[in-house]
Amino acid sequence: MKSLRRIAIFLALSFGGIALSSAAFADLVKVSVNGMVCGFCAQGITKKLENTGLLEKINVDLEKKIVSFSTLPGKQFDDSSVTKLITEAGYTVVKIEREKP
Amino acid sequence: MTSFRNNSTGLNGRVLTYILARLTACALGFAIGQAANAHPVVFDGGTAVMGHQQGGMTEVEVIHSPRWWYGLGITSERMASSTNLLGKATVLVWRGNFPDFQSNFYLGLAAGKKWNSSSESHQTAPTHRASQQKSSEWLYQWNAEWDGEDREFYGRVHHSQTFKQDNSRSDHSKVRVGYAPYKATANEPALWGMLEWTMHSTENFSKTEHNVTPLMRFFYRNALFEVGSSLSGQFMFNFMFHFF
Repeated sequence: MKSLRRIAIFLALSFGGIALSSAAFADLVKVSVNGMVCGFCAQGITKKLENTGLLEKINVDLEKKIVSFSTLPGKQFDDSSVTKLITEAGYTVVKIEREKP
Repeated sequence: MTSFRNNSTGLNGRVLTYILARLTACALGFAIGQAANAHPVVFDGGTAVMGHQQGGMTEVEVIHSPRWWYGLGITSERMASSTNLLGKATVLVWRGNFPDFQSNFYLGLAAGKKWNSSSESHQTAPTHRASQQKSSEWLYQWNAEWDGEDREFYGRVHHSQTFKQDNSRSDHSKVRVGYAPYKATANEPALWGMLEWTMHSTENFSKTEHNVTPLMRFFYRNALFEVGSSLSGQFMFNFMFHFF
């Protein structure tokens, strides 16, 4: 019974640690977007992402057609939210990649 | 000495104020007299202030887009003999987002009033009384527009028809092609060379005017300026600012 309690505590701490560590570190997100051809496009997408208050280091690369940003530490911004936001801005999401720092 | 310094500062202040006032007046002069020359729908939640001036035609337009696919705006058009004020709604009917290219098709409706100035009343001497009595009339307009661009080439076709209360109609068509000598990134100034052809007909095509204007477009972040001169010598100045 004692060992079972120890295992439970160990598992709880392990999962808690994993959850905490993933929340504490920011994701670097790279989104391939179709339809970005000018500075106004870049500005529209940047402002839309800025308005969420969840992101930083937002950059639009017209050459590579990539929008990149980091989530603020402790904040979550899942793929469906990324797609919804960029679609609402009038552009088409092709691919989303995430990197852990 | 102190007094002299104070006077000098006062003089400089007055000169500075005068220069600033003149510059502001020039800027307002351009703004008050000027038409829109880019997307008629701004990005999601954005507002655009646009102006156009060429020959005797000046236009100022303010558009707000609550969503990325439609825009609502007010346009003021000033001509030598009249002023039009129109409320308009534009819908982005179709957008094609391609890897290196974007294309859009818009449809718009507008309604408003036209005020004839006194000079028009004098010019139309035989109908002087009638013109005076009818100093304003309702206008209705529809327009369609296609544009397509990548970072190097640009094309735009626009057509509008305006109907007056007396059933007379005026048509306005515009075709533009543009080329960018370099592909600007999002954070550097962009430069475009453009060629514009316009056709304006009034009173059911009784009078038609054609214009070809080579122009330069300067574009940086939320500001766009265009300067050109038509082959017939009419100066053109356009501007556009985007806000959130």
